[in-house]
This record gives sequence, structure tokens and C-alpha cells, in this order.
Amino acid sequence: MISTDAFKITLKDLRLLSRDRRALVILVAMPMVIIAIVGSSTGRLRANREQSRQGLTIEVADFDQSETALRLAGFLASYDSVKVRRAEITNRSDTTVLKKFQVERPTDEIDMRLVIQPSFETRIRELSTTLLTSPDESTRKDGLATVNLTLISNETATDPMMEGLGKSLVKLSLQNAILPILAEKVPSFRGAARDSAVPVAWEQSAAAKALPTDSGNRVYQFFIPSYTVLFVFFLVNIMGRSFLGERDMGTLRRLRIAPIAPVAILMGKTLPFFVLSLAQTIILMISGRLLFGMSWGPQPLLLIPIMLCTSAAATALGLMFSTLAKTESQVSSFGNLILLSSAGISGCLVPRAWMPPMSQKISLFTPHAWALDAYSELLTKELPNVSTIGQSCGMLLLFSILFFVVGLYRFRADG
Amino acid sequence: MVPLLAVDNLVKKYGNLTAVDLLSFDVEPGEAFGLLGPNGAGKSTTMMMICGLLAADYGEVRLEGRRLDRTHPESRQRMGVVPQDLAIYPDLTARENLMFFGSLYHLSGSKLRQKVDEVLEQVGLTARADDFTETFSGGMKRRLNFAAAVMHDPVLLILDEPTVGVDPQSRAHLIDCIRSLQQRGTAIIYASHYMEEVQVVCTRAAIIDHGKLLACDTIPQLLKQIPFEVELRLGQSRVPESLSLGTSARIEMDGDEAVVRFSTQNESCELTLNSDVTNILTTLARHSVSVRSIRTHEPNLERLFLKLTGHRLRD
Repeated sequence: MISTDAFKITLKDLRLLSRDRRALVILVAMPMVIIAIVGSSTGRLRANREQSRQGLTIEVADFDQSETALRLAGFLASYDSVKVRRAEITNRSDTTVLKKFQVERPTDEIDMRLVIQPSFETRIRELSTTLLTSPDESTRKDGLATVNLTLISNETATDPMMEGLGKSLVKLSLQNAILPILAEKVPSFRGAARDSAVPVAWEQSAAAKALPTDSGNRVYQFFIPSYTVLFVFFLVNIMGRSFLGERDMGTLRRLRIAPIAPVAILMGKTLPFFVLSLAQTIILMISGRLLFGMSWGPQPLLLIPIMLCTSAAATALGLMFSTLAKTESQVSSFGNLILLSSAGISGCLVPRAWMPPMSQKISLFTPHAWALDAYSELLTKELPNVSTIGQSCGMLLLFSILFFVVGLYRFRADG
Repeated sequence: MVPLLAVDNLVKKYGNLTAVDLLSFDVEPGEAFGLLGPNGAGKSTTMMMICGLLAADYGEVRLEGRRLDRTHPESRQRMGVVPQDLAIYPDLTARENLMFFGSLYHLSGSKLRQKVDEVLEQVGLTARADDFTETFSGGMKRRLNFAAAVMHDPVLLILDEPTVGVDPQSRAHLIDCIRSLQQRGTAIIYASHYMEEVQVVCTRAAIIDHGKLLACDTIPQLLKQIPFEVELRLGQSRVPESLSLGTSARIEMDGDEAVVRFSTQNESCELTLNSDVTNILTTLARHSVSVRSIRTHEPNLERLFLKLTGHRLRD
């Protein structure tokens, strides 16, 4: 009976909401515009910061195609903090193409480019045993150019430590890659050469395939979930206004006089916004994919529980707020205060990873942070941890229950 | 016989203020009962307790012998409430409003649609049934506000100032609707500041102030507490000193004009008035005092109300 009564109120509110164009614009059109504007203006900065936090992405342009060149890329990919992406080369024999790769700096998510020149393996074989075993001596000490390798950084790279790290990792990988050649020249290296099997290249893993190939779109992996969560919680204001409107119109009293339970009224008032919130999230996710090339991660089905739990927490918070706010000015002032402060604390506006540790802990008192954690785990990790997503969803449900119970208590106490 | 509604020793306190103080009254099936009182008298609090919006601190309300319990909303199924403030959705049409409110009282399907048509016809809104109510005049909104409360054929209809701010035509139409409902057996509790409406609609009334019941009886019995008054305005400022009009009449000055006032509270007031008026007019003529105008003040609820509750302003 409660669910039937709630459904009647839900249908009525959905009908009213469908006639409220302002609310629809705020909930759907505005987030799209803001994501596009903010994404295009500050996206690269954020993307670079996120990437440096997660490790290096190195593009390998292999003009040599030798076994040693493949080994080099493979060893490079075996480091946890390195993601290797193979560059598309149209014509390996064309020197202008080679020149282009050597001169043009990589952009967006590619931190560095390693160009393996056509004579790479030949050059290794030409080098003396001394030079091969003591890279810090003679001509090799100056860098990678001696072995026909070119390493260039991203055009916006500002972190010399990351650059240095990249260079060191390439050198270490090179040492492993040349072991078979060394073994041919120095028998004592044969054992080491036998043990130096190339690990599976990162680019062949499932996670690598799920990540976007268009580097420019990577920023939206951060922006769309962040702003989706932010705007889902905008419902707090709209729900507050709806409740206040119902109270001002006197219809809330009429609902309370009717033979229906208070919990049915609250459920009926909450469900339309839950539906709206889900619709908003789905539209933003689909638009994000179609318009901005955002990826849904390696396990897109996991988006469903995240979206459901986030919407539940947002609408329950909206409900609680609605039972607390008594006037239009309270809805505006407290609503905006809640929205902006929780968005700021939680990491919707500034990534949590950039925050001090204490702020990161405080952010966990907001449902937004748990929603962002879940989205981040799913959308930015190569292999998302399902239990982490489950934990975030569980916390969101706990927030929902807490908010709903407080709202129900306030509603009953109001008479 | 069990009354339809029994209000028994209701008490409601807000801190130190006792809004309703041991209030008791009954309403019989099909009866129209007026609830009168100045602002802050406790009328709205009483009605809120009857319809389950407020919990009483003490006492109880019974409908058809069953105690009304706030925690059992189904007990409100047989009751309809027309709130003082409009309680309709401006962004829904009249029909959509009635469909929604009817469905809350468990009407559905063809029965609901049929009832919506019937009630729209009853309140004269059939032609505007599919228009958004935000385009309605005040009177039309009031009629729809009323219609929403009677969709489920309640046995008891509580009306709180149902005609506030409406044009005379809508008011007359609403009063006709209320009387028609009552004639069909619906009991009415009618709270209003428009005493003449209460006098027209109700057969019995209670007057409350400061949460206490001051009077509760049939309208004719209540009116017996108020004298029938006659006022003769004399066309001069002075009257002869020898003029004597008897003990029941008094001569007073109203500005520059002398006024003779007398009243009666007898059961057979018509007979007494007849002779009193004849005697006074004869005496005045004998002293060559002309009468400019004669006004009568019949007993009515407003005078009784002011007599019982005083003339002090209430906020």
C-alpha cells in the first residue's frame, strides 16, 4: 500500500517536473556546457597532474623492428609506473617520418616518446663489449643517442624529476634488452641472457585496450564523473524548492490529511528526483562518450551500481534538506552552502589527490567523495578493484539511509 | 446513538500557551456544524487535531465510534478537508488535480474518471477541466479546492474558511454545493468568520475563544441570547425634559442627534416590540418630537460572537 501511494505521488511529481523546463535545463543542459567549457580550458593541466601521479606514459616509435627493439619496449612496459603505447608509423623507410617523430614533441597524455632508429640493433652490435657493459664510459655516457635512440618529453612537461626518471628507466630497459647480444660477445652473460625473458608488454593487456586512444579525450575521464557527481547533488536545491513549493501551495498539508503514511509521502516525493538524477547521470555518461570520447572503463556494467547508489545518496540528502529548510532564502543560502562546500571538500572541484592528507580524510564525510572514488576506480584504473567499488557503493547506501531516516524524523516531528 | 464525530476533552498546549483547553462537542450524521471563534481562538488547532495533522496532548477524537489515530492514516479515509489556503497544483489541469487527489483516496479507473466528471460538473468547472489551474480566477480555484476534498464522498467534510476572497457568485455557488452535500447526508464542520454564511449553512454552532467552548447549541437557541434592538433617530438634538419613554427605552446622544434605543429578549419578542414601538411613537408624537429614521437590529451570530468574545482586537 505504501509503495502504491508513493507511486501516485511520484507520477504526479514527474508530470510536474516534466513541465518545469528550468529544472531540466539546470540538471541536464548546464552540466554539459560546464563540462565542455571547463574541460577545454583547464583539462590539460588536470590531466598532466593526474598522469604524473599515476606514472609515465611512453610512446615507442619503433623504426628498427628488430628483436632488441621489441625487447627494449617490453622491458620498459614491465615497470609498474610506466605505460607503453606503440606509435602508429605509416612508412618506416621514410626519413621525413622519422625526422618528424624525432622533432615533434608528444602532446597530452604522452609524457615521453622513445624513437628507436632503423639502425638501432646494428649499432648495438657494433659497440664494443666494454661500451656495452659500462654504459657510463666513453661515448655512451652522453646519453641514448649513441645507440640510435631518441627520447623527447611532452611539450608541457614541467617536472624534471619525471623526465630524469623516464631516462633512467629507458637506460635500465636497454641494459636488459641487449643481454642476448652481450651473451654472444661475452659467454659469461649467457646465463643472464637466458633469464631475461621479456615480460608481457603492457599494451597487449586488456586494461590498455580499454583506455582511450585519443589522448585529448582523457581529461573527460576526470571531468565527466566529477561534474556528474557535482550536478547530481544539485538536486538538493531543486528538491528543497519542490518541497517548499508543495508546502507553500498547501498541497503538502493536503497530502498529510489524505489516508497515506508519511513514509509513503516522502518516498513519493523522493522517487521522481531519484529517477531524474539517474536520467541526468545516464545522459551525461552517454554524452561524455559520444561527444567527448570518454571511456566507460573496462567493466562498464559496474557503472550501474555506482549511478544507483550516488543518485540514492543525492536524493536522500535532498529529502533531508527539504525537511529542514523552511523558507526560500534558507533553500537558496543553505542549499548553495551545502553544495559548494561539499563539492569543494569532496574533490568534485579539485581532485582529492591534490589535497593534503587531512583534507582527504575529511572528504570521506561527504557522499560525493565515495561516489568519486567509485567512478575513479572504474574509469581510470586499468583493472578496477570491484571490492573498492563495492565499499564506496555501500558507504553511499549508508549515507542514503541516514539522510532518509533523519528526513522522516523531521517530517513526522513537523506535525 | 453514537455521534458521527465526538470531540472529547481535547487539550493542546504550545509551551505555556494552552491553544485548546478541554474542548468537547459532537457532530451528528448529516449535520452542519459551525465552528466560530476569533483569530487565535483555537479553531484551526482543533481542526488540525480532528483531521490528524496534530497530536492532542489530551483527549480524543472519534469518528463513527472509532478513535482517530494519527499513526493509522487509513482512519482519515472517510473524512474530507477543505483547507483555508488553496491546496491545488497550478501546473496541473483541474482534471489532473482531481484525478490525483481522488487516487490518494483509493479511487481508480473508470470510477475515478466518472467521479472527476461529476465533481467538475458540481462545482461548475467542466468547461475549464483541461486548463491549467494557474490560469483560473480566485473563485474557480476555490471551487476546485472544494472539489478536491469531496472526490471520495466523505461522511464528514471539514471546511476552514472555504469562501475567503471569492466573488459573490462563486461564494453563492460554493454554499449551494455545501448545502447540497449536507442534504445528501454528509456532515459538515464549517469554520468561518463570515457569520451570515454559518447562519445560512449550519443548524448548530459552537463559539470558542482562548481554546474554551463559550457556547454550543442550535442556531435559534444561540440567537435567543441576543436581544432584538430598535433604534429611533430623532430629527432634533434636544428633547423635552418632560418626555418619559418608560423603563425599557433610553435616550442617548449620537453627535448632535438624539437617539432612542430599546430592546427585548422575550421569547415572544415580536408581540412585545409591537406594543413598545406603538407606545413610544405615540409618546413622541404627543411631545411633538419627530422621528427621522427607525432601524432594527435583529439577533444574529455576529452580535452573539462579539458579545461572547468581546470587541478587543485579535492578532
